[in-house]
Amino acid sequence: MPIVFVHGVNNRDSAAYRENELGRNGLLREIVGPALGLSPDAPIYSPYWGEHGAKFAWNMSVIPNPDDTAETFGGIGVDGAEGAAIGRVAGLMASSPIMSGNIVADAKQNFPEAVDTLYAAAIAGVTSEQQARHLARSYMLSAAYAVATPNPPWVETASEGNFVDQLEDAANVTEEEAFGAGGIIDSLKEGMSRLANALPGLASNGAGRLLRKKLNSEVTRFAGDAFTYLAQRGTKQAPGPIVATVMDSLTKANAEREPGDDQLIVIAHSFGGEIVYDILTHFATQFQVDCLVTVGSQVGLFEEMKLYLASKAELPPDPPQGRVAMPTNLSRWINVYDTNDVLSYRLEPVVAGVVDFFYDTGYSMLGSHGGYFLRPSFYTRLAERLKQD
Amino acid sequence: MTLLYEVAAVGSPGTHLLAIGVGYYPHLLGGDRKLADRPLGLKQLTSPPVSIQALLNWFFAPLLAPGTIGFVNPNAPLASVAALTSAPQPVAITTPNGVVNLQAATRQGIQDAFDAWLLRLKGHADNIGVLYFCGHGITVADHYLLAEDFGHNMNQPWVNAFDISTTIRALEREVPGAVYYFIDACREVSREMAVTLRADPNPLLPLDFDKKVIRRSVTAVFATGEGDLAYAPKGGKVSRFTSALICAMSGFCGVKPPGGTTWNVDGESISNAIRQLLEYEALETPDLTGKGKQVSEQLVQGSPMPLLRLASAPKVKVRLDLAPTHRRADYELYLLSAKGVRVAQVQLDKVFRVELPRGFYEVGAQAPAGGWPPVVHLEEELVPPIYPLILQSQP
Repeated sequence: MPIVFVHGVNNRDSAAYRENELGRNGLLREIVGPALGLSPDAPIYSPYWGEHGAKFAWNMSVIPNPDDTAETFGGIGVDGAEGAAIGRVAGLMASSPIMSGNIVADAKQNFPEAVDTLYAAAIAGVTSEQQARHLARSYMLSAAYAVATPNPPWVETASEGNFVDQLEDAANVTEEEAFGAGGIIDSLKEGMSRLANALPGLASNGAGRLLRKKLNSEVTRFAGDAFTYLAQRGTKQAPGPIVATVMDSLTKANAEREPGDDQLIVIAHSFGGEIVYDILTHFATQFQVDCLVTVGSQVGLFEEMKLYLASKAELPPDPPQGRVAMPTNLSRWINVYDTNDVLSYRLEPVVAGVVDFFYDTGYSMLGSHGGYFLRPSFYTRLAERLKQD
Repeated sequence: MTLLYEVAAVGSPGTHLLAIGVGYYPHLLGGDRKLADRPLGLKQLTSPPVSIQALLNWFFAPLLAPGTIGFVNPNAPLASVAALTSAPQPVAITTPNGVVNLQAATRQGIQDAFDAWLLRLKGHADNIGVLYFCGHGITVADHYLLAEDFGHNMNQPWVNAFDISTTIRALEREVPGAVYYFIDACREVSREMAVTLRADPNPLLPLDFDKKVIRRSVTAVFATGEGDLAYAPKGGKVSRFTSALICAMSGFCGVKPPGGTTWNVDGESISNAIRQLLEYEALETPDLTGKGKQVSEQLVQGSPMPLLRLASAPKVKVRLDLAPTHRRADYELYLLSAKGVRVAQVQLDKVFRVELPRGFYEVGAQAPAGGWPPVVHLEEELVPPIYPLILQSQP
């Protein structure tokens, strides 16, 4: 059963993009996969279309960024892998209601939330899918423990030095005795280190600078990628490069279907949803997709503006009561949105048969738009939703 | 008590054992004292006290009941045994001098026992030393082994451990004979310790480069490779590595030198046997939750100075299976020695396990009722410690 993940805007090939993919694939396999009946090594296709997105001749130098005038002697570069990981964590923490960067204090306020954020911070810096899967398996045990024990007594006396150790000891059960810790502790402590380093209050550090830069550039690149796509998506006979890239992966995934394991799942983030919708309704109507999950997407908004090639101004004839029919080559469609995410939209009011799924990241503005796939709890809740008919 | 056994053997060589087993760590997870600020994810262990007991029992066995399997080396008989162990309850050992409770394996206790052991070991140029440790271990620049009181000091969280890597190098300059190290501990790399400057624990003996290497032989066998874990079954059982070590020494390895009268267990043969026995255990228990295969790592240097000298040829653990498995019940699995001795498992739907002397055998499978063709391997050499083979029934 193959999965195709179509990314959204603002993705460009870099260490950060590749780490994101490793972490996401690990979480998809370990948490979402079982809900879909996915075999552990089922292929996951992640077509990268960012190279065909908007190009900025002056590298977005029009964006005001006063920090660029300052020279930093040392420190973590914002463009390096660890700097990018800290930046992602900074994005997650930007407007969190509870996270202070002190894991013990945060756990006393909201233990399950602290556990989720801790694992998100750890997964943000994984260097292999195996590491991500290891963390994902550990997360499921820790999350179950946090739900069953929302106020564990040991948190009261824990220190930042031994919080992770006690969490892992309490939540993880092994059937063999190991004369060591098993590696997970170091990954989680790296996550803790990122939480501390990503404190938005530390405005002079790399994370803070990255976050401000990210806010500006994300809006700019969203508009740029959307305009570029609309201008260059091509025709059915001659698809544009973005459409061709995504269609190529869909074709490969489609070919992986086997008798008894023949489901095709497509997950699309942000503008990836619009691309997939355009493909399924115009470019390649022959693809039969068993489940489409759009996350933080604007498919409904673009249909409201009638911007798809298959859009018809007269359909439905009776808005806002009426709905556009769900594409016939799509069996199930779940749309995930967060009211804090200004770039995510509902879909139920526009397309018939879609199920809107509200996911509260706890963050606001642009921090939440990129946050879905960083938080392990998102995968857990998505898996639960996918299990429901 | 630390020194459990000692014989006065002035002027003749002997074997001196120092065994340390640490399962009780009061400052680590699950301990009953204030939790260390940096416990490194380490928990209480139930296996080390049991593992050290098994090892000591094996060493003492021939002294307590002559003729039983245990330590044998006429050239360097058992001269002293010192041991420390940390467990929630006192650990008692039956020695030739009676039952003795072992002293706790604190960092200072280990140092004192080591100093005394080293003094005894240096007493004769042909002495053989054995240093066994079972408990928590971590790796950064070197391999560190954790004493009972690890984590006691909040500001010096890693002080109660010792650097075995440097200790081994230092001893090469102090001990003229042979030293065997059997280190049953993890070698996982600790990021926390790695990012803390000058956190490295001290060795039991400083390494003095002004001294030249004088050792004749050194063998260090580690339970696992660098960065990996060592395991034990849960519930207070002997660890995988110590099980393999005791098994290897109990007649499953050894080479006979040309014209010799004994089968000698030296560094190379025991290292090879332990590695293969660990692989054999993984073969026998494929659902081990430790998953990662535990592959021991060895350092063997110098000229051989056997740890054991055995009177009889070593044995081989034979494991015969037949594929496809649904035909197993139709076959007789057998081994026929060059001396004409035949052993067989007749039409049973299971793996055939048997222990046999080393040598050349015809190994095969026959279907007495016919129907399936025989499978025969005419000249198979059974070399200790294991011989696993899956016979293929065709077509």
